[in-house]
Amino acid sequence: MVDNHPQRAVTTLDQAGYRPWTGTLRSPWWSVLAIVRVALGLIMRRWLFWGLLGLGLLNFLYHFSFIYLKATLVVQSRDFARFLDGFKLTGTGEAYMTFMHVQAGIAALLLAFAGSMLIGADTRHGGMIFYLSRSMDRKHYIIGKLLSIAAIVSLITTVPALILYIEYGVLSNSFDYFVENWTIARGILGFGLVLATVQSLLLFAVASWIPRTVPLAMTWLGIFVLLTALGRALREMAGDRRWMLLALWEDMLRIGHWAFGSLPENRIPTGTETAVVLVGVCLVSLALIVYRVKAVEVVR
Amino acid sequence: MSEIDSPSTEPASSTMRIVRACLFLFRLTLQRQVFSRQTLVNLGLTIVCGMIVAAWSYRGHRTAMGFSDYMLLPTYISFLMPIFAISYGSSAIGGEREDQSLIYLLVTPIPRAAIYLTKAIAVSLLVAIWSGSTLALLCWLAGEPGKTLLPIYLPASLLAGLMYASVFLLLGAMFRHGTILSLAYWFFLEVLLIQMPGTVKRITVAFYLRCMLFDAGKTYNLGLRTPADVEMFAAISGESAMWVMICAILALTTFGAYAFSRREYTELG
Repeated sequence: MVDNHPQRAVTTLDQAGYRPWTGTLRSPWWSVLAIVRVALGLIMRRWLFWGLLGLGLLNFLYHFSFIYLKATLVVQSRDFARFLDGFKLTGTGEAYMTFMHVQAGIAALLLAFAGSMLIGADTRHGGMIFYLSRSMDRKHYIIGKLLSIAAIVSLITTVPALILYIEYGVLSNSFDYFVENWTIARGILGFGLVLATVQSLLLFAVASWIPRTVPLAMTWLGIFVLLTALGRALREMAGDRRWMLLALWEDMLRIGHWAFGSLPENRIPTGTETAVVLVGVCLVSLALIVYRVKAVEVVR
Repeated sequence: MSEIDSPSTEPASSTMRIVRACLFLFRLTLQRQVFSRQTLVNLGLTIVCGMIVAAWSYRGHRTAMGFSDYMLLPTYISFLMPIFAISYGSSAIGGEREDQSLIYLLVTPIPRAAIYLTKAIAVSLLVAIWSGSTLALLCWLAGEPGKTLLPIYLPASLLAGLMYASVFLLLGAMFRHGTILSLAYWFFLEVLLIQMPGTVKRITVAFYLRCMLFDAGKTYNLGLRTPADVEMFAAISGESAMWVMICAILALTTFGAYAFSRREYTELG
Protein backbone atom coordinates (compact mmCIF):
# COMPACT_ATOMS: atom_id res chain seq x y z
CA MET A 1 0.00 0.00 0.00
CA VAL A 2 1.37 3.46 -0.94
CA ASP A 3 1.81 6.03 1.79
CA ASN A 4 0.40 9.28 0.38
CA HIS A 5 0.60 11.41 3.50
CA PRO A 6 3.10 14.25 2.78
CA GLN A 7 4.48 14.45 6.33
CA ARG A 8 5.10 10.73 6.55
CA ALA A 9 6.59 10.64 3.00
CA VAL A 10 9.16 13.29 3.93
CA THR A 11 10.11 11.32 7.00
CA THR A 12 10.57 8.21 4.91
CA LEU A 13 12.79 10.12 2.47
CA ASP A 14 14.88 11.47 5.35
CA GLN A 15 15.26 7.98 6.70
CA ALA A 16 16.41 6.77 3.31
CA GLY A 17 19.34 9.17 3.56
CA TYR A 18 18.68 11.25 0.45
CA ARG A 19 20.36 14.63 0.65
CA PRO A 20 21.33 17.38 -1.80
CA TRP A 21 24.88 17.63 -3.15
CA THR A 22 26.76 20.13 -1.02
CA GLY A 23 30.12 20.06 -2.79
CA THR A 24 31.25 22.39 -5.57
CA LEU A 25 29.87 21.37 -8.96
CA ARG A 26 32.52 21.16 -11.66
CA SER A 27 32.02 22.20 -15.25
CA PRO A 28 29.97 19.72 -17.33
CA TRP A 29 32.96 19.52 -19.68
CA TRP A 30 34.51 17.15 -17.15
CA SER A 31 31.77 14.69 -18.05
CA VAL A 32 33.48 14.28 -21.44
CA LEU A 33 36.43 12.63 -19.71
CA ALA A 34 34.10 10.38 -17.73
CA ILE A 35 32.33 9.31 -20.94
CA VAL A 36 35.68 8.50 -22.58
CA ARG A 37 36.83 6.55 -19.51
CA VAL A 38 33.61 4.54 -19.29
CA ALA A 39 33.56 3.89 -23.04
CA LEU A 40 37.17 2.67 -23.14
CA GLY A 41 36.55 0.51 -20.07
CA LEU A 42 33.50 -0.99 -21.76
CA ILE A 43 35.48 -1.88 -24.85
CA MET A 44 38.57 -3.11 -23.03
CA ARG A 45 36.53 -5.48 -20.88
CA ARG A 46 35.79 -7.57 -23.97
CA TRP A 47 38.25 -10.28 -24.89
CA LEU A 48 37.31 -9.70 -28.50
CA PHE A 49 38.89 -6.23 -28.36
CA TRP A 50 42.15 -7.67 -27.14
CA GLY A 51 42.00 -10.41 -29.78
CA LEU A 52 41.53 -7.88 -32.58
CA LEU A 53 44.14 -5.58 -31.06
CA GLY A 54 46.56 -8.52 -30.87
CA LEU A 55 45.98 -9.33 -34.54
CA GLY A 56 46.48 -5.67 -35.33
CA LEU A 57 49.73 -5.57 -33.42
CA LEU A 58 51.23 -8.40 -35.51
CA ASN A 59 52.00 -5.78 -38.12
CA PHE A 60 53.53 -3.59 -35.42
CA LEU A 61 55.75 -6.43 -34.20
CA TYR A 62 56.93 -7.06 -37.74
CA HIS A 63 57.96 -3.42 -38.16
CA PHE A 64 59.43 -3.29 -34.66
CA SER A 65 61.66 -6.31 -35.39
CA PHE A 66 62.61 -4.94 -38.80
CA ILE A 67 63.80 -1.64 -37.32
CA TYR A 68 65.83 -3.50 -34.71
CA LEU A 69 67.34 -5.72 -37.41
CA LYS A 70 68.15 -2.72 -39.56
CA ALA A 71 69.83 -0.90 -36.66
CA THR A 72 72.00 -3.98 -36.05
CA LEU A 73 72.92 -4.39 -39.73
CA VAL A 74 73.83 -0.70 -40.10
CA VAL A 75 76.67 -1.28 -37.65
CA GLN A 76 77.90 -4.44 -39.42
CA SER A 77 77.38 -3.64 -43.11
CA ARG A 78 76.83 -0.16 -44.56
CA ASP A 79 75.99 -1.56 -48.02
CA PHE A 80 73.27 -3.76 -46.70
CA ALA A 81 71.90 -0.84 -44.71
CA ARG A 82 71.71 1.25 -47.90
CA PHE A 83 69.76 -1.61 -49.51
CA LEU A 84 67.33 -1.60 -46.59
CA ASP A 85 66.83 2.14 -47.00
CA GLY A 86 64.30 1.22 -49.69
CA PHE A 87 62.11 0.69 -46.66
CA LYS A 88 61.76 4.43 -46.10
CA LEU A 89 62.07 5.21 -42.44
CA THR A 90 63.81 8.46 -43.26
CA GLY A 91 63.05 11.31 -45.68
CA THR A 92 59.29 11.34 -46.22
CA GLY A 93 58.80 8.32 -43.97
CA GLU A 94 56.83 6.23 -46.47
CA ALA A 95 57.19 3.14 -44.26
CA TYR A 96 55.37 4.84 -41.36
CA MET A 97 52.65 5.95 -43.70
CA THR A 98 52.18 2.45 -45.14
CA PHE A 99 52.19 1.04 -41.63
CA MET A 100 49.50 3.47 -40.48
CA HIS A 101 47.44 2.76 -43.57
CA VAL A 102 47.44 -0.98 -42.89
CA GLN A 103 46.70 -0.36 -39.21
CA ALA A 104 43.79 1.88 -40.20
CA GLY A 105 42.23 -1.09 -42.02
CA ILE A 106 42.39 -3.12 -38.83
CA ALA A 107 41.05 -0.15 -36.87
CA ALA A 108 38.09 0.04 -39.26
CA LEU A 109 37.25 -3.57 -38.42
CA LEU A 110 37.54 -2.88 -34.72
CA LEU A 111 35.35 0.19 -35.11
CA ALA A 112 32.51 -1.94 -36.47
CA PHE A 113 32.59 -3.69 -33.09
CA ALA A 114 33.11 -0.49 -31.10
CA GLY A 115 30.39 1.38 -32.99
CA SER A 116 27.68 -1.12 -32.12
CA MET A 117 28.80 -1.23 -28.51
CA LEU A 118 29.44 2.45 -27.83
CA ILE A 119 26.88 4.17 -30.02
CA GLY A 120 24.43 1.52 -31.23
CA ALA A 121 23.81 0.11 -27.76
CA ASP A 122 23.17 3.61 -26.38
CA THR A 123 20.55 4.20 -29.05
CA ARG A 124 18.91 0.78 -28.77
CA HIS A 125 18.99 0.18 -25.03
CA GLY A 126 18.37 3.74 -23.86
CA GLY A 127 21.89 4.54 -22.66
CA MET A 128 21.64 7.91 -24.36
CA ILE A 129 18.62 8.76 -22.20
CA PHE A 130 20.70 8.05 -19.11
CA TYR A 131 23.54 10.29 -20.29
CA LEU A 132 21.27 13.14 -21.33
CA SER A 133 19.35 13.03 -18.05
CA ARG A 134 22.54 14.08 -16.24
CA SER A 135 23.62 17.68 -15.83
CA MET A 136 25.31 17.77 -19.21
CA ASP A 137 24.37 18.85 -22.67
CA ARG A 138 24.28 16.71 -25.79
CA LYS A 139 27.43 18.41 -27.06
CA HIS A 140 29.28 16.88 -24.11
CA TYR A 141 27.85 13.48 -24.93
CA ILE A 142 28.76 13.80 -28.61
CA ILE A 143 32.28 15.01 -27.92
CA GLY A 144 32.80 12.31 -25.30
CA LYS A 145 31.76 9.57 -27.69
CA LEU A 146 33.78 11.02 -30.56
CA LEU A 147 36.87 11.18 -28.36
CA SER A 148 36.31 7.56 -27.30
CA ILE A 149 36.26 6.39 -30.92
CA ALA A 150 39.22 8.62 -31.76
CA ALA A 151 41.14 7.12 -28.84
CA ILE A 152 40.57 3.60 -30.19
CA VAL A 153 41.72 4.64 -33.67
CA SER A 154 44.81 6.37 -32.25
CA LEU A 155 45.62 3.36 -30.09
CA ILE A 156 45.95 1.22 -33.21
CA THR A 157 47.38 3.69 -35.71
CA THR A 158 49.13 6.75 -34.24
CA VAL A 159 50.53 5.38 -30.99
CA PRO A 160 52.29 2.33 -32.55
CA ALA A 161 53.65 4.54 -35.37
CA LEU A 162 55.07 6.98 -32.83
CA ILE A 163 56.62 4.09 -30.90
CA LEU A 164 58.31 2.88 -34.12
CA TYR A 165 59.55 6.41 -34.84
CA ILE A 166 61.03 6.73 -31.36
CA GLU A 167 62.51 3.21 -31.61
CA TYR A 168 64.28 4.05 -34.87
CA GLY A 169 65.61 7.29 -33.40
CA VAL A 170 66.95 5.85 -30.18
CA LEU A 171 68.57 2.88 -31.95
CA SER A 172 70.79 5.27 -33.93
CA ASN A 173 74.04 6.64 -32.48
CA SER A 174 72.79 10.18 -31.89
CA PHE A 175 69.56 12.13 -31.63
CA ASP A 176 70.12 13.64 -35.09
CA TYR A 177 67.38 11.40 -36.49
CA PHE A 178 64.73 13.31 -34.52
CA VAL A 179 66.15 16.69 -35.61
CA GLU A 180 66.57 15.76 -39.29
CA ASN A 181 63.26 13.92 -39.59
CA TRP A 182 60.93 15.99 -37.44
CA THR A 183 58.54 16.19 -40.40
CA ILE A 184 57.90 12.47 -39.97
CA ALA A 185 56.59 13.05 -36.46
CA ARG A 186 54.41 15.82 -37.88
CA GLY A 187 53.22 13.44 -40.59
CA ILE A 188 52.38 10.69 -38.11
CA LEU A 189 50.41 13.08 -35.91
CA GLY A 190 48.71 14.74 -38.88
CA PHE A 191 47.70 11.51 -40.56
CA GLY A 192 46.62 10.10 -37.20
CA LEU A 193 44.46 13.17 -36.60
CA VAL A 194 42.79 12.81 -40.00
CA LEU A 195 42.12 9.10 -39.47
CA ALA A 196 40.73 9.65 -35.99
CA THR A 197 38.56 12.65 -36.91
CA VAL A 198 37.04 11.32 -40.11
CA GLN A 199 36.49 7.78 -38.85
CA SER A 200 35.03 8.82 -35.52
CA LEU A 201 32.54 11.26 -37.07
CA LEU A 202 31.57 8.85 -39.82
CA LEU A 203 31.18 5.91 -37.46
CA PHE A 204 29.10 7.92 -35.00
CA ALA A 205 26.82 9.10 -37.81
CA VAL A 206 26.37 5.59 -39.22
CA ALA A 207 25.93 3.92 -35.83
CA SER A 208 23.41 6.46 -34.59
CA TRP A 209 21.21 5.78 -37.61
CA ILE A 210 21.96 2.05 -37.99
CA PRO A 211 22.51 0.86 -34.42
CA ARG A 212 22.30 -2.91 -34.90
CA THR A 213 25.62 -4.72 -35.21
CA VAL A 214 25.12 -6.59 -38.49
CA PRO A 215 23.74 -3.77 -40.69
CA LEU A 216 26.17 -1.33 -39.07
CA ALA A 217 29.19 -3.48 -39.89
CA MET A 218 27.94 -4.02 -43.44
CA THR A 219 27.33 -0.32 -44.06
CA TRP A 220 30.58 0.71 -42.41
CA LEU A 221 32.70 -1.61 -44.57
CA GLY A 222 30.57 -0.93 -47.65
CA ILE A 223 31.31 2.81 -47.40
CA PHE A 224 35.04 2.20 -47.69
CA VAL A 225 35.18 -0.79 -50.06
CA LEU A 226 32.42 -0.04 -52.54
CA LEU A 227 32.88 3.72 -52.74
CA THR A 228 36.51 3.10 -53.68
CA ALA A 229 35.45 0.67 -56.41
CA LEU A 230 32.76 3.08 -57.61
CA GLY A 231 35.24 5.96 -57.74
CA ARG A 232 37.66 3.88 -59.81
CA ALA A 233 34.95 2.75 -62.23
CA LEU A 234 33.63 6.29 -62.70
CA ARG A 235 37.16 7.66 -63.17
CA GLU A 236 37.74 5.13 -65.91
CA MET A 237 34.37 5.84 -67.49
CA ALA A 238 34.61 9.64 -67.47
CA GLY A 239 38.40 9.87 -67.73
CA ASP A 240 38.43 12.31 -64.81
CA ARG A 241 40.57 11.54 -61.79
CA ARG A 242 38.39 13.73 -59.58
CA TRP A 243 35.93 10.84 -59.35
CA MET A 244 38.48 9.26 -57.01
CA LEU A 245 37.33 11.78 -54.43
CA LEU A 246 34.41 9.41 -53.84
CA ALA A 247 36.87 6.92 -52.34
CA LEU A 248 37.02 8.15 -48.74
CA TRP A 249 39.73 5.66 -47.82
CA GLU A 250 42.01 7.00 -50.55
CA ASP A 251 41.09 10.56 -49.60
CA MET A 252 42.38 9.98 -46.10
CA LEU A 253 45.51 8.40 -47.55
CA ARG A 254 46.01 11.42 -49.81
CA ILE A 255 45.77 13.78 -46.86
CA GLY A 256 48.22 11.49 -45.09
CA HIS A 257 50.68 11.93 -47.99
CA TRP A 258 50.16 15.67 -47.67
CA ALA A 259 50.92 15.53 -43.94
CA PHE A 260 54.09 13.53 -44.61
CA GLY A 261 55.04 15.96 -47.39
CA SER A 262 54.99 13.32 -50.12
CA LEU A 263 51.91 14.42 -52.08
CA PRO A 264 52.82 15.52 -55.65
CA GLU A 265 51.67 19.13 -56.11
CA ASN A 266 50.04 18.87 -59.52
CA ARG A 267 48.43 15.49 -59.08
CA ILE A 268 44.64 15.48 -59.46
CA PRO A 269 42.73 15.40 -57.17
CA THR A 270 44.78 17.93 -55.26
CA GLY A 271 45.25 18.05 -51.51
CA THR A 272 42.88 21.03 -51.25
CA GLU A 273 40.11 19.24 -53.16
CA THR A 274 40.53 16.18 -50.99
CA ALA A 275 40.47 18.26 -47.82
CA VAL A 276 37.26 19.98 -48.97
CA VAL A 277 35.59 16.60 -49.56
CA LEU A 278 36.68 15.24 -46.18
CA VAL A 279 35.57 18.40 -44.36
CA GLY A 280 32.22 18.12 -46.18
CA VAL A 281 31.86 14.48 -45.09
CA CYS A 282 32.69 15.45 -41.51
CA LEU A 283 30.14 18.29 -41.50
CA VAL A 284 27.39 16.09 -42.94
CA SER A 285 28.22 13.40 -40.38
CA LEU A 286 28.11 15.97 -37.59
CA ALA A 287 24.72 17.25 -38.78
CA LEU A 288 23.38 13.67 -38.83
CA ILE A 289 24.74 13.07 -35.33
CA VAL A 290 23.27 16.28 -33.88
CA TYR A 291 19.91 15.51 -35.48
CA ARG A 292 19.92 12.00 -34.06
CA VAL A 293 21.20 12.66 -30.54
CA LYS A 294 18.11 13.95 -28.82
CA ALA A 295 16.57 13.34 -25.44
CA VAL A 296 13.05 13.08 -26.84
CA GLU A 297 12.94 9.40 -26.06
CA VAL A 298 12.71 10.38 -22.38
CA VAL A 299 9.07 11.20 -23.09
CA ARG A 300 8.38 7.69 -24.39
CA MET B 1 -10.26 -38.89 -24.02
CA SER B 2 -9.20 -36.66 -26.87
CA GLU B 3 -7.06 -37.87 -29.75
CA ILE B 4 -4.14 -35.73 -28.63
CA ASP B 5 -3.96 -37.46 -25.27
CA SER B 6 -4.23 -40.95 -26.72
CA PRO B 7 -1.02 -42.91 -25.98
CA SER B 8 -1.23 -44.92 -29.23
CA THR B 9 -1.12 -41.84 -31.48
CA GLU B 10 1.28 -39.75 -29.36
CA PRO B 11 4.65 -40.65 -31.01
CA ALA B 12 3.45 -39.93 -34.53
CA SER B 13 1.64 -36.74 -33.62
CA SER B 14 4.60 -35.58 -31.53
CA THR B 15 6.90 -35.92 -34.55
CA MET B 16 4.39 -34.13 -36.69
CA ARG B 17 4.10 -31.35 -34.14
CA ILE B 18 7.85 -30.87 -34.20
CA VAL B 19 7.87 -30.86 -37.99
CA ARG B 20 5.10 -28.28 -38.03
CA ALA B 21 6.91 -26.22 -35.42
CA CYS B 22 10.09 -26.37 -37.51
CA LEU B 23 8.16 -25.27 -40.58
CA PHE B 24 6.74 -22.36 -38.60
CA LEU B 25 10.22 -21.47 -37.34
CA PHE B 26 11.53 -21.68 -40.91
CA ARG B 27 8.86 -19.26 -42.09
CA LEU B 28 9.43 -16.97 -39.11
CA THR B 29 13.20 -16.94 -39.66
CA LEU B 30 12.75 -16.09 -43.33
CA GLN B 31 10.27 -13.38 -42.47
CA ARG B 32 12.47 -11.83 -39.78
CA GLN B 33 15.56 -11.94 -41.95
CA VAL B 34 13.92 -10.63 -45.09
CA PHE B 35 12.11 -7.74 -43.39
CA SER B 36 15.19 -6.47 -41.63
CA ARG B 37 17.66 -3.63 -41.92
CA GLN B 38 20.34 -5.93 -43.27
CA THR B 39 18.13 -6.62 -46.30
CA LEU B 40 17.92 -2.89 -46.92
CA VAL B 41 21.70 -2.57 -46.55
CA ASN B 42 22.19 -5.57 -48.86
CA LEU B 43 19.95 -3.90 -51.38
CA GLY B 44 21.93 -0.67 -51.10
CA LEU B 45 25.25 -2.48 -51.53
CA THR B 46 23.87 -4.38 -54.53
CA ILE B 47 22.73 -1.11 -56.13
CA VAL B 48 26.18 0.46 -55.61
CA CYS B 49 27.79 -2.68 -57.09
CA GLY B 50 25.39 -2.47 -60.02
CA MET B 51 26.45 1.16 -60.56
CA ILE B 52 30.11 0.10 -60.51
CA VAL B 53 29.52 -2.58 -63.14
CA ALA B 54 27.37 -0.23 -65.25
CA ALA B 55 30.13 2.41 -65.12
CA TRP B 56 32.73 -0.21 -66.03
CA SER B 57 30.76 -1.56 -68.98
CA TYR B 58 29.96 1.94 -70.30
CA ARG B 59 33.08 1.92 -72.43
CA GLY B 60 33.06 -0.72 -75.16
CA HIS B 61 35.53 -3.55 -75.92
CA ARG B 62 35.10 -5.26 -72.58
CA THR B 63 36.20 -8.88 -72.28
CA ALA B 64 35.07 -11.70 -70.03
CA MET B 65 38.57 -11.84 -68.54
CA GLY B 66 38.47 -8.12 -67.70
CA PHE B 67 35.00 -8.42 -66.19
CA SER B 68 36.21 -11.28 -64.02
CA ASP B 69 39.48 -9.60 -62.98
CA TYR B 70 38.31 -6.04 -62.39
CA MET B 71 34.67 -6.44 -61.39
CA LEU B 72 33.53 -9.84 -60.21
CA LEU B 73 36.59 -10.97 -58.24
CA PRO B 74 37.22 -7.74 -56.26
CA THR B 75 33.65 -6.56 -55.70
CA TYR B 76 31.34 -9.57 -55.83
CA ILE B 77 33.50 -12.54 -54.81
CA SER B 78 35.76 -10.80 -52.31
CA PHE B 79 33.25 -8.43 -50.75
CA LEU B 80 29.57 -8.74 -51.59
CA MET B 81 29.15 -12.50 -51.27
CA PRO B 82 30.80 -12.83 -47.82
CA ILE B 83 28.84 -9.77 -46.66
CA PHE B 84 25.54 -11.40 -47.73
CA ALA B 85 26.52 -14.53 -45.82
CA ILE B 86 27.54 -12.53 -42.73
CA SER B 87 24.35 -10.47 -42.82
CA TYR B 88 22.08 -13.50 -42.67
CA GLY B 89 24.39 -16.19 -41.26
CA SER B 90 25.71 -14.50 -38.16
CA SER B 91 22.43 -12.75 -37.36
CA ALA B 92 20.24 -15.88 -37.55
CA ILE B 93 21.14 -16.97 -34.03
CA GLY B 94 23.39 -14.03 -33.10
CA GLY B 95 20.50 -11.61 -33.73
CA GLU B 96 18.25 -13.64 -31.41
CA ARG B 97 20.94 -13.41 -28.74
CA GLU B 98 21.35 -9.69 -29.30
CA ASP B 99 17.58 -9.14 -29.00
CA GLN B 100 17.46 -11.54 -26.03
CA SER B 101 14.72 -13.52 -27.77
CA LEU B 102 16.75 -16.72 -27.99
CA ILE B 103 15.45 -17.81 -24.61
CA TYR B 104 11.89 -18.00 -25.99
CA LEU B 105 13.15 -20.23 -28.75
CA LEU B 106 15.05 -22.48 -26.37
CA VAL B 107 12.10 -23.03 -24.02
CA THR B 108 9.99 -24.44 -26.86
CA PRO B 109 9.81 -28.26 -27.03
CA ILE B 110 11.62 -28.25 -30.41
CA PRO B 111 14.95 -30.09 -30.13
CA ARG B 112 17.84 -27.66 -30.30
CA ALA B 113 19.48 -29.48 -33.19
CA ALA B 114 16.22 -29.11 -35.15
CA ILE B 115 16.17 -25.36 -34.37
CA TYR B 116 19.73 -25.02 -35.67
CA LEU B 117 19.06 -27.07 -38.80
CA THR B 118 15.88 -25.13 -39.56
CA LYS B 119 17.75 -21.86 -39.21
CA ALA B 120 20.61 -23.22 -41.33
CA ILE B 121 18.22 -24.16 -44.15
CA ALA B 122 16.47 -20.76 -44.02
CA VAL B 123 19.77 -18.88 -44.01
CA SER B 124 21.20 -21.01 -46.83
CA LEU B 125 18.13 -20.34 -48.93
CA LEU B 126 18.36 -16.60 -48.39
CA VAL B 127 22.10 -16.45 -49.06
CA ALA B 128 21.71 -18.56 -52.21
CA ILE B 129 18.89 -16.35 -53.51
CA TRP B 130 20.78 -13.12 -52.78
CA SER B 131 24.09 -14.38 -54.19
CA GLY B 132 22.52 -15.89 -57.30
CA SER B 133 20.24 -12.96 -58.11
CA THR B 134 22.96 -10.36 -57.50
CA LEU B 135 25.37 -12.25 -59.72
CA ALA B 136 22.72 -12.50 -62.43
CA LEU B 137 22.04 -8.75 -62.14
CA LEU B 138 25.71 -7.82 -62.36
CA CYS B 139 26.24 -10.13 -65.35
CA TRP B 140 23.19 -8.67 -67.07
CA LEU B 141 24.50 -5.14 -66.53
CA ALA B 142 27.90 -6.11 -67.94
CA GLY B 143 26.38 -7.29 -71.24
CA GLU B 144 28.15 -9.91 -73.34
CA PRO B 145 31.04 -10.64 -70.93
CA GLY B 146 28.49 -11.15 -68.17
CA LYS B 147 26.45 -13.59 -70.22
CA THR B 148 29.62 -15.58 -70.87
CA LEU B 149 30.69 -15.68 -67.23
CA LEU B 150 27.34 -16.32 -65.53
CA PRO B 151 27.30 -20.13 -66.07
CA ILE B 152 30.92 -20.31 -64.85
CA TYR B 153 30.44 -18.19 -61.75
CA LEU B 154 26.98 -19.33 -60.66
CA PRO B 155 27.67 -22.89 -59.33
CA ALA B 156 30.87 -21.85 -57.55
CA SER B 157 29.24 -18.74 -56.07
CA LEU B 158 26.23 -20.63 -54.76
CA LEU B 159 28.38 -23.30 -53.16
CA ALA B 160 30.77 -20.77 -51.63
CA GLY B 161 27.83 -18.66 -50.42
CA LEU B 162 26.42 -21.70 -48.63
CA MET B 163 29.79 -22.50 -47.11
CA TYR B 164 30.24 -18.94 -45.88
CA ALA B 165 26.72 -19.07 -44.44
CA SER B 166 27.49 -22.29 -42.53
CA VAL B 167 30.72 -20.82 -41.13
CA PHE B 168 29.05 -17.58 -40.02
CA LEU B 169 25.99 -19.34 -38.63
CA LEU B 170 28.29 -21.50 -36.53
CA LEU B 171 30.24 -18.45 -35.29
CA GLY B 172 26.97 -16.67 -34.47
CA ALA B 173 25.77 -19.67 -32.47
CA MET B 174 29.05 -20.28 -30.65
CA PHE B 175 30.14 -16.76 -29.74
CA ARG B 176 28.38 -13.75 -28.31
CA HIS B 177 29.86 -11.29 -30.80
CA GLY B 178 29.51 -13.65 -33.74
CA THR B 179 29.13 -10.87 -36.27
CA ILE B 180 32.39 -9.20 -35.35
CA LEU B 181 34.16 -12.55 -35.21
CA SER B 182 32.75 -13.33 -38.65
CA LEU B 183 34.10 -10.03 -39.93
CA ALA B 184 37.47 -10.72 -38.31
CA TYR B 185 37.52 -14.22 -39.84
CA TRP B 186 36.69 -12.79 -43.25
CA PHE B 187 39.26 -9.99 -43.02
CA PHE B 188 42.18 -11.86 -41.45
CA LEU B 189 41.71 -15.32 -42.92
CA GLU B 190 39.84 -14.92 -46.17
CA VAL B 191 41.38 -11.66 -47.39
CA LEU B 192 44.93 -12.00 -46.07
CA LEU B 193 45.63 -15.74 -46.26
CA ILE B 194 44.48 -16.06 -49.85
CA GLN B 195 47.38 -13.80 -50.88
CA MET B 196 49.98 -15.93 -49.11
CA PRO B 197 52.07 -18.64 -50.77
CA GLY B 198 51.88 -22.31 -49.87
CA THR B 199 49.09 -24.47 -48.55
CA VAL B 200 48.07 -22.19 -45.66
CA LYS B 201 45.30 -20.72 -47.80
CA ARG B 202 43.54 -24.10 -47.96
CA ILE B 203 41.68 -23.28 -44.76
CA THR B 204 39.84 -20.48 -46.55
CA VAL B 205 36.59 -20.67 -48.50
CA ALA B 206 37.99 -18.21 -51.03
CA PHE B 207 40.66 -20.72 -52.09
CA TYR B 208 38.19 -23.45 -53.06
CA LEU B 209 35.92 -20.91 -54.71
CA ARG B 210 38.76 -19.63 -56.87
CA CYS B 211 39.87 -23.16 -57.70
CA MET B 212 36.39 -23.92 -59.02
CA LEU B 213 36.23 -20.65 -60.95
CA PHE B 214 39.68 -20.91 -62.50
CA ASP B 215 39.09 -24.54 -63.48
CA ALA B 216 35.72 -23.82 -65.07
CA GLY B 217 36.98 -20.66 -66.76
CA LYS B 218 40.11 -22.10 -68.41
CA THR B 219 38.63 -21.44 -71.83
CA TYR B 220 38.40 -17.71 -71.11
CA ASN B 221 41.82 -17.56 -69.46
CA LEU B 222 40.38 -16.64 -66.07
CA GLY B 223 42.63 -16.44 -63.05
CA LEU B 224 46.18 -17.77 -63.03
CA ARG B 225 48.18 -16.80 -66.10
CA THR B 226 51.87 -16.73 -65.31
CA PRO B 227 53.85 -19.75 -64.01
CA ALA B 228 54.67 -17.71 -60.89
CA ASP B 229 50.94 -17.20 -60.23
CA VAL B 230 50.29 -20.91 -60.70
CA GLU B 231 53.09 -21.87 -58.30
CA MET B 232 52.06 -19.24 -55.77
CA PHE B 233 48.40 -20.23 -55.75
CA ALA B 234 48.97 -24.03 -55.80
CA ALA B 235 45.45 -24.74 -57.00
CA ILE B 236 43.59 -28.04 -56.79
CA SER B 237 41.13 -29.29 -59.40
CA GLY B 238 37.68 -27.73 -59.59
CA GLU B 239 35.98 -31.04 -58.85
CA SER B 240 38.07 -31.62 -55.73
CA ALA B 241 37.33 -28.07 -54.58
CA MET B 242 33.62 -28.68 -55.08
CA TRP B 243 33.67 -31.87 -52.99
CA VAL B 244 35.71 -30.20 -50.26
CA MET B 245 33.12 -27.43 -50.04
CA ILE B 246 30.17 -29.86 -49.98
CA CYS B 247 31.81 -31.95 -47.24
CA ALA B 248 32.73 -28.80 -45.29
CA ILE B 249 29.15 -27.48 -45.44
CA LEU B 250 27.80 -30.81 -44.12
CA ALA B 251 30.47 -31.05 -41.43
CA LEU B 252 30.03 -27.44 -40.27
CA THR B 253 26.24 -27.78 -40.12
CA THR B 254 26.44 -31.05 -38.19
CA PHE B 255 28.98 -29.64 -35.78
CA GLY B 256 26.92 -26.47 -35.40
CA ALA B 257 23.78 -28.47 -34.55
CA TYR B 258 25.76 -30.48 -31.99
CA ALA B 259 27.41 -27.41 -30.47
CA PHE B 260 24.13 -25.48 -30.34
CA SER B 261 22.37 -28.35 -28.56
CA ARG B 262 25.17 -28.67 -25.99
CA ARG B 263 25.90 -25.02 -25.33
CA GLU B 264 24.59 -23.22 -22.27
CA TYR B 265 23.58 -19.65 -23.07
CA THR B 266 24.23 -18.14 -19.67
CA GLU B 267 23.88 -14.50 -20.69
CA LEU B 268 20.18 -15.00 -21.50
CA GLY B 269 19.09 -15.18 -17.89
